[in-house]
Amino acid sequence: MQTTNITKGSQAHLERIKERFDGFMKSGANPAFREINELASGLIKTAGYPHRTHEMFTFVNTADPSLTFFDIAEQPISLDDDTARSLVYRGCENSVLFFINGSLDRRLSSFYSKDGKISISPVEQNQAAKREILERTKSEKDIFALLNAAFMKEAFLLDVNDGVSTEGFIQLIFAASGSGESPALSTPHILIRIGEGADIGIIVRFISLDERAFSIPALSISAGEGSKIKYICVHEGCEDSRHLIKTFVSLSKDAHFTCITASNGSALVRHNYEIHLHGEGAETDFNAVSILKEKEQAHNYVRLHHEAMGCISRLRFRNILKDKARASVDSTVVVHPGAKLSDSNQIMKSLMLSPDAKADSKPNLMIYADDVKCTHGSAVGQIDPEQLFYLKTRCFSQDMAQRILTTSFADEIIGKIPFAPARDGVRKMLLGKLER
Amino acid sequence: MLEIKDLYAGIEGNEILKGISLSVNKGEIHAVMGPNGSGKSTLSNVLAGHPSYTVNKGTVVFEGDDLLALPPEERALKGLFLAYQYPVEIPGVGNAEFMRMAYNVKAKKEGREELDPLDFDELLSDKMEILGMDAKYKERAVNEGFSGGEKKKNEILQMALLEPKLTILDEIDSGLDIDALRIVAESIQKLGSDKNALIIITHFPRILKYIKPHYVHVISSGRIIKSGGIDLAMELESRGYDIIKEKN
Repeated sequence: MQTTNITKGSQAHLERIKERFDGFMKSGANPAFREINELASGLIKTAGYPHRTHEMFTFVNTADPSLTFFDIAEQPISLDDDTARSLVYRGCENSVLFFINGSLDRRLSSFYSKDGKISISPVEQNQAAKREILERTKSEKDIFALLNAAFMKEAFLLDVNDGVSTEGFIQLIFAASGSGESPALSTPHILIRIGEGADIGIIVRFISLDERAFSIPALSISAGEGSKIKYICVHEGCEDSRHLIKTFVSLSKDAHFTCITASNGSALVRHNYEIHLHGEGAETDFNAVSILKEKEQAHNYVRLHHEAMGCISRLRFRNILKDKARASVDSTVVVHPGAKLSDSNQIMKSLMLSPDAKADSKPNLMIYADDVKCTHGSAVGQIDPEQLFYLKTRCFSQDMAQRILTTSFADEIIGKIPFAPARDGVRKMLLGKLER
Repeated sequence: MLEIKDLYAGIEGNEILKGISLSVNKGEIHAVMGPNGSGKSTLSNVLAGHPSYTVNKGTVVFEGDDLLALPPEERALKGLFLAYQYPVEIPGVGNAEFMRMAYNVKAKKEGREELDPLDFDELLSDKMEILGMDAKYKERAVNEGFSGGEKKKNEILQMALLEPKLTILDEIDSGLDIDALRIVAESIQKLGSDKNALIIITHFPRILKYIKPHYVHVISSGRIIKSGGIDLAMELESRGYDIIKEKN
């Protein structure tokens, strides 16, 4: 792990984390995960609390006191039925799992799987799954993913058998609450195993129920040989909520991972995707979009590893920023030795609608193999005046023309969402923010 | 319909139009011809209201209104249409939906019925067939990945849908092969009537073999230096822009 200088500020953060951790281990911890909790806590202490010189948090204000002045979110709480129903996309009524502050809410969840070929189970008694979390924790470098492991009380395994193919989508809803004075920390942890040749769609929806929600979910997806995963991640935060989401993806030979991440911003949302194409011919089509206003922030940190021959990756990022919003994309594609015939392309675009907004783009390539094709590009700018003029000469007012251009900019990503109810929902959530 | 008087205009402090005067009536087709850099495209941009251009002197009256006082969208709604030499691409905006929205904005302004996607598709299909355009261009983003010829056809398609009173065709023939030029020109011809008018801005006389103008104007250094009938275009065809030197 990268070592950071311990300053007074970061020392104070570490002390607060330790204080919370000690309290958690005395009263709230689950004995089944104690080993993982302690391992993660030790790694946090060794690594130190990161400040802005840390390469993982260049664009994120880790000094934000809300990130360590937290209480543990109350569990269990529940949602009323009407609110819960409103969160379920049409068509997912019988394939929805509710996680409230990290706990599976069985009353709200409705999950039927023919022949039990798709199952959800707690990790507590599953030694192999626990070992997987433990091993991943050992190599984890993200302080907030380690925080998840340090404060993890529950974890679940979503298991999709070999060859299972579903037309519909499985929806996972992660709702985080938090009232009170301090932010309420929740640490959902899900392992998703996709069997060989399976073809499945998953929608993950992160929602803040209250302003003081502070959620640091960890998801781990392992895709079997020849499997296909359509993965949609929707973040819907409140103004003062914070979400730092770690998603680990491992693709076997010829596995295909299509991902669309949509963020509506909040005080802070940060996605950390760590994607490993470790099987020959694995492919990733990764897309992320956010529309931010006022002081909202959304950050994408992606590390994508080509580890085998003939893998393909496509990464597209789009941000639209109004007012004093902030967005960043920090994306690195690493082509490891032996990963010949890798084909990778990264494109980052940000559209600035205000002089006070700020967007940072940092595309990187690290190539340690021969015979590869890797490109990247980045653009930050305003609405093209020639496009605006063209539309005005086609009868559109300034407002309409601007709306068409901003909408289309975001819709190039949103339009890729392969599930109409989710696509419509994201359009409503994000494009509505472009209204004056 | 259109009355341009003593128009001086330019861009970034460079005066390009230096006293253009031109009258266009309903039912007329005018060709404005000239060598590169003579001010042809500046004229079309100024008439359409491009914000980068500044009018320094002169008046333009269109259908009784001061055209120069109107923003571009009001000019379009009044019936002015510019078919671009280089139409811009608008990624992410579906061509058919874009045209339906434009059609409906104009229809609403004129108190006509707005069309839903199904009815509009019928209208659009008819117009595309006339232009020999493949239906795949409906779903593509506006002009994105279109060939030069398809972009020009797409401009004429919009002209056909919006039914403008005055169309300015800015170098509509550039980049077209002979077959595409014939199809585009025939379509433009079909759209002509005694209720509307055309200004064809072109460098080469070849499009005028298909669309016969009533008047031909030669522009040079920002001024119309010679006007005449189709014979003038024929003269340009045979002698080139040397006639400008004689005039000067």
